[in-house]
Amino acid sequence: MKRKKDDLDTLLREAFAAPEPAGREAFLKTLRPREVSTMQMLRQQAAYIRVPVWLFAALTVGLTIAGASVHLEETVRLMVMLMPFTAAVCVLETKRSERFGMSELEMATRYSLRSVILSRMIVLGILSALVLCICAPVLAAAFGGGVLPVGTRILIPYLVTMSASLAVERSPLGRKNGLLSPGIALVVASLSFLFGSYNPLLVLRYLEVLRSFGLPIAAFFLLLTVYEQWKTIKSVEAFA
Amino acid sequence: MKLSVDRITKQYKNKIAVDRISFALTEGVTGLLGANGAGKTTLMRMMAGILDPTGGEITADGVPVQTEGYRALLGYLPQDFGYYPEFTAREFVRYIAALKGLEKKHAKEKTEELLELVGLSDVAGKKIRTFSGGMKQRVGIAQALVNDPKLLILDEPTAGLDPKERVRFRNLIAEVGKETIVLFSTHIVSDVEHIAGNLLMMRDGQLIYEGPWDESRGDLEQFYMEEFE
Repeated sequence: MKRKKDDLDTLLREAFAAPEPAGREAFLKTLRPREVSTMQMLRQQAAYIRVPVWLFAALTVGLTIAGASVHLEETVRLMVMLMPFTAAVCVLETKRSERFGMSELEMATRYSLRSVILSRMIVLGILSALVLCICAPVLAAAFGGGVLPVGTRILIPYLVTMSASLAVERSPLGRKNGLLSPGIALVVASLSFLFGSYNPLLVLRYLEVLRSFGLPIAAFFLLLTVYEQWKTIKSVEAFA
Repeated sequence: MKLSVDRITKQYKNKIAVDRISFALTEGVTGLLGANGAGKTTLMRMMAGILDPTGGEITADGVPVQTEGYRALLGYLPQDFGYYPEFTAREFVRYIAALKGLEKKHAKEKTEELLELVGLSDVAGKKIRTFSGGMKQRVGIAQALVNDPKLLILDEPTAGLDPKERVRFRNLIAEVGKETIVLFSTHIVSDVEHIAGNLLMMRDGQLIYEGPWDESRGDLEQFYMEEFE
């Protein structure tokens, strides 16, 4: 009985088979291109952020958690020195269209290169904020000092490097040289290291300043960074 | 579709790269000929919407060049283009497809179709950095076609192609040109004389010839040599 039914189904399918689509390609060409939301654009660009960037962020968080779990006192200083490199990695990633000669192609796509760069900046900004939001409480819980002072202590070198790197990368020298951002990160990290090693009392004084004025200082550098990002985006399509 | 270029001008400090050029194009292949420094690339960049003109306007069926609507119609292959070093041919074409707003599934199908068309399907998973100049150029052609453009701008697309690839490319462009406005620049007259129904010739930022080649003027190659060499 079941077999008869299957045969009937097959016969019916064959008798009423759908015709070959005629003019499918022509029809598809008449469709308007789909709208893409901001979230889709961000997801799309996030998929093209290179693996080393995610690995570096994971390494920073991993080192923080590992250092905090074994109560290694130097962990906070290590983070202060690592954050400038996180900023440099983000700047290099933001500027990679120019670095690899993709700008002209990306400019001629449906979304302007500005949208692409802005999306990348937002994704990388979220990634850096996540790193900070995980590291600051972990470090504060392990070594004391409060989330805000610890947070601002590791955030400020990041913002200083980010704003300086964005400004330098726009200059003719920055356009020719791909290593200026890591160079700036190295300078900021070295200064942090020397500052910490020079005089422990100076560090204590600095921490007191951060406790009182950490937020306004961080806010100043944050504004400076946003300003530099805006200038970078503005300069993106000043082609040739 | 009608592409209108109206008194388009590009001036740098003391140099006029493109000087009040006007023309209109409809479906078909148009060859853009001119010596180095004639202003071909500047004109094409303005037509691709990546360089702001100093004056004049460019529209496709009334849609201005600066809009997303115009860019949605566009396929563009620059003279020199780079690629992210980690990209394979497939990833490269899919990336451009994503930036052109294609649905993931459609982008996937279209990428495979185009890589097959340009003869790269067997190396689609290989890094572009391992490709020869001609293969890279073919990847560039594939990305330009990924959104089924209504306007295709190709800046020196045959550079780096060997004679066999050049013939194959000409046939492909002739086919695309049946439904699309194709503008392509070249130094090589034979690239355009067989497939371009329309010619534009530029010298010192100005248009010196526009229209189908007039046989009564003699041999196109001879004319080109006399005018530009």
